[in-house]
Amino acid sequence: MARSESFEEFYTGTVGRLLGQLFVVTGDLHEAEEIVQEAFTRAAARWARLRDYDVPEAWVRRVAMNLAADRVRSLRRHTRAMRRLGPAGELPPVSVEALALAGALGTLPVRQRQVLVLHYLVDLPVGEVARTLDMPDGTVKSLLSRGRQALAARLGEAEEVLDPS
Amino acid sequence: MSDLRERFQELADAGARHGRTPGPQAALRRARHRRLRLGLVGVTAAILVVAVVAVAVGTDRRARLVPLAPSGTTTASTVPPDVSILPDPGEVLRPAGSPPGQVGEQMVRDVATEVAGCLNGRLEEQTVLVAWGTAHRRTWLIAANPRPPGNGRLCWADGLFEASGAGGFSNNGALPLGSLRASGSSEIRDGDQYWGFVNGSVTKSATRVRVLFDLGIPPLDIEPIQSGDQFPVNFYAGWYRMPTRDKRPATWQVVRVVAYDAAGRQVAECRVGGPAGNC
Repeated sequence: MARSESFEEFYTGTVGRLLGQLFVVTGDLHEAEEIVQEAFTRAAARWARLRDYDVPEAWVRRVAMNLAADRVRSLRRHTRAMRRLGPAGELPPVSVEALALAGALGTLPVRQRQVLVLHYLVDLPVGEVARTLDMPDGTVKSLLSRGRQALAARLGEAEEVLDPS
Repeated sequence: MSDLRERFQELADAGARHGRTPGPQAALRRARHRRLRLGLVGVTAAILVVAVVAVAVGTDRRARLVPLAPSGTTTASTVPPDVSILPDPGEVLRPAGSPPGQVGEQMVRDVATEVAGCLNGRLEEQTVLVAWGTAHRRTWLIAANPRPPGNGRLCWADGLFEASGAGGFSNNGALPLGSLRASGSSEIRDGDQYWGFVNGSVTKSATRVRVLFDLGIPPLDIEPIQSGDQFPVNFYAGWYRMPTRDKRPATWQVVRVVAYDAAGRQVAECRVGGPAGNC
């Protein structure tokens, strides 16, 4: 499919989708923009090889997911870096329900967020999620289960707050 | 929860709609820029490598080009790092035997770019590939800038890559250097076995770094990689075997790292996670 694509065509056809996915994972539009652009820059450097992949988008998504996890990991481990986080990430206008979901996602570990996004948004089967994140199927299933439970609990609380009746 | 997919899609659509990226030409320019600038570094490095090897042959220094021996206290259930470095990596920009092929070149560029990122993108600054190794179908690298930016900081970066060149790498220079730092990855699959990776910087007075884990994983002792006089710290890297699948949570298993000097005295310690986390 991608064999005759130029990098520009590939970029234009996939950047919005990846940006949306990374935005859901990071909860911060600016951070998602930086991560996605960096992933595409690395793809550009390898395009001669990547263009022959069946799904080069999967490679870019994988790099972007790694970058997102790396950022969270390094920030989490250093309180000094945490202080640099500043205010909550930028959110575009969305419905109350989507806003509640963004808030609930923000409380989950990054791996849970990634698994939920890849499964529910990208619509990847468990095995494909496992390959993308380089973890076993069982871990993906466990993370999905825990993530769903955590989201249900947090969204339940949020709904009570939003609708006291 | 029944409309979870729709809510995810709404969020993603909003992100896609409102997000702004510089476009494909910017990505291509940036990639080309990195290639050109680091290509120049590579040419210089190649000349230096040839010179260093020529000197080494004459003085029998090649005899010192041996992998670091595993520490005597490395437990049987862990694997010592596959480390192969020149005796004085500060003399060359990139050690002989860097990761092979175009993918290896790209790995070096990626990590060097991270170092440059710490230097506000000044790619003309010298970057030294301090050490690299391969294990579990992955290649890890540590690179640093030999001219510390001061204020207790050093520009250095680490990377962990798959054979395809996909991987993660991070710039550690934004953080205070400290006497002991640790970062790494987990859930690294190699066949049926899963591994974790830990690396970091350590004070030069340390001769051994002990990494302590939760989940009953035995401690891992690592001999620091000697980085030379141009760096204020040494570095370390090592792998550990992760527990069986059903006992393995999706968190990093490293809880504490301790450095010892030659007399066995503790010279530094850091903790991972929690309010006391300072690794």
